[in-house]
Amino acid sequence: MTVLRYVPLGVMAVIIGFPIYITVVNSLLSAPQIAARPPTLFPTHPLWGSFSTAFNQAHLGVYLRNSAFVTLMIVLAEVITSVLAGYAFAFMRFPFRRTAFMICIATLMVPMEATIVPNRQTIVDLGWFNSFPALIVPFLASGIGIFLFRQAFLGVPRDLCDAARLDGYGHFRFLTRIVMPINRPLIGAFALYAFLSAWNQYLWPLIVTETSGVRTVQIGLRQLQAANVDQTNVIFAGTVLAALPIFILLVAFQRQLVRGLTAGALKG
Amino acid sequence: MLASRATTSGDAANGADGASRDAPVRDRGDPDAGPLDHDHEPAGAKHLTAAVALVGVSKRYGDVEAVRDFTLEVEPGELLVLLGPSGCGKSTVLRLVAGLEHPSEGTVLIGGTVVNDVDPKDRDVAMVFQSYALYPHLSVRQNIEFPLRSRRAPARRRRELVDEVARGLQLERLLDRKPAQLSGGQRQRVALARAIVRRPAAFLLDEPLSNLDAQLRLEMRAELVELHARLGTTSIYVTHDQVEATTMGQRIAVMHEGRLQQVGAPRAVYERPANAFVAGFVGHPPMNIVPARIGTAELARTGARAPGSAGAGAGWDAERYPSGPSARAGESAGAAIFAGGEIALSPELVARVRRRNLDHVLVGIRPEDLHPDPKGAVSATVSLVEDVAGYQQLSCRLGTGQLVGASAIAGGPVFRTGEAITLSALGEPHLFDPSNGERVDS
Repeated sequence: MTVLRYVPLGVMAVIIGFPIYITVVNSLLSAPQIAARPPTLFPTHPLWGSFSTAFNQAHLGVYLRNSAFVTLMIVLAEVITSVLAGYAFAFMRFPFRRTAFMICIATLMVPMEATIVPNRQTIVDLGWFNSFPALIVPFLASGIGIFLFRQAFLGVPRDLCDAARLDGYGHFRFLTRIVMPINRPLIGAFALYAFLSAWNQYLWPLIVTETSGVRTVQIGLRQLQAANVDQTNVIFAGTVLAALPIFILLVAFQRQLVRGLTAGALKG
Repeated sequence: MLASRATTSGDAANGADGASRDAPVRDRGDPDAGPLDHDHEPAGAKHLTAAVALVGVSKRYGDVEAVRDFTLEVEPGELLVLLGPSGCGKSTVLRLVAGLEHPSEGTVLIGGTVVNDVDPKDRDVAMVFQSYALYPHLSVRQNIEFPLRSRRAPARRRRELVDEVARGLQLERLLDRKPAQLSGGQRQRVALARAIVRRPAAFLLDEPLSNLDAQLRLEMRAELVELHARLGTTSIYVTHDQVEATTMGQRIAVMHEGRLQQVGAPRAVYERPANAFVAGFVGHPPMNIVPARIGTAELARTGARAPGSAGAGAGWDAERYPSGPSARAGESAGAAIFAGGEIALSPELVARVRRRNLDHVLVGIRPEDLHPDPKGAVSATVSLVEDVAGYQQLSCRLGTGQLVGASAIAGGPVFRTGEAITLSALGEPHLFDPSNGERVDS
């Protein structure tokens, strides 16, 4: 039984893992070795120089720093605004609450491609073209985050809210002391999700920036590819560098992510 | 604070006397209240000396009126039970006192101060929820000290207070556990501890035992009464369980459809229910309530006896019916008559009915006052016999088709399903006005 279960899983792991493996291996080979057939599957004499080339010559260091800054700001802002808005929709009574929530949900229905041109125009009109605000501000709030947290917070028993009020805790302290700790796995999972999507952005940063001072690592990678057509090992090294932060995060928070995605695990 | 605690615990020590109080609270003061003797207060100022008072309070949610014109005073140190079926507004009353709801009309007072616009946290009341409302991510210790943290009590003091309360409720060994690792009874204790640790002016308990199994409920009931006697803190206890209410409360306040129906000592409410609703709700099994018309008793034919008179009637089989009625024929001025039966009424009761110009009434007889009697004036068919320790509980179908409860002492004759019997009632029946349910001799 166990064998039956693990054989297909193993095959799938190889299929998914192989491209990643070959990327790492290629980053440690020389360009002719990469082009050679049959391919080298294990680097007997790894060459680490391609990493420093990518990092320094192709300015990947700057791009990585930009990406880190932009992503961190977006994740922080998205988590904060989504938690606050989700709490308001779940626990507070105010006029047009339903309508406001519907509008939040409606933003999920509009594909990014439909808004990208007017959004770019707005950024240009605001004088933010080629600046960090252009990369960060459009992503300060997230419809999916608000929806996610509202649904989760609706599952928090109302009695807890009443008990906290009697115990002398107002909305903010109830949120930070009770609601957020209870929903920590979900907040973690959402932060990770926000990180992934912010880190992997390509189209939007490309059209609102033009200099390497503010550009992010995905654009840097593209430029690296264009500039080093013959040095495929450097391209592979850049790819590994760009994917490294995500890889580290996934390993560190894997448990958190799985728990958050299989939510409903919140209750009980 | 300390002074009031001294008087309230003194009051609680006199709990037995408190329980014998019988009059509706608005008419009489508490003779045990000592310095808070209401008998000398002008009417209308009573709510100022009550620990908790609601005066003319209504609460509407849109078109739904959850609580209507509700007036009630809770004496310092008293354990008052708010009793009513689910949806009668009793929990809303509790939430109004706690400040979790704002009254649409009327005034809420705590310790003589109007608190309509006072925040829940500043009302000095603690609430215990049916769901316990424990914070799932905090340990038992952190749960109990939670209300102290918001009041910025120093860490050492918090520790002392939590330890003290935990000792009193046998929670010492559980202090490091999370709520999920506790049994229902233990969670209930933690919820109580969290309320007690603040030493509030009043406890508000919202059906605190209804999530426990029967055995544990009995134990916790006794523990709660003991705890109240020990702390002497004014408590309002909400329940839909009338057994719980009558065994725990020094006074019970019965609610129905948002209105207060009756307030008084459990025995007083049981013996003289103010209306047909209270009569049917308080008491287990419930009181039989039979629509009837007022007429002249046909004593010669039925042998029914008027209550309150001495001596057993002729042909009384004392051996077969040892609990038979003690009555003498010929004194009744009238009777309540329904298909297949009649209940004799005393002249005073008949006079009351006449004064109200009623030809029809609702007759209320407790099952424990209705017994099989070969000379009985009510014919019925036995439809169910339940053997309870000490007696047989009968369900009988009347000529009207209505099912009524009756009781027969064990060791007497054994009754069988389908058997045709006659019943007679002990004591004076309760009569209610069919138009509004009010007690006729109120």
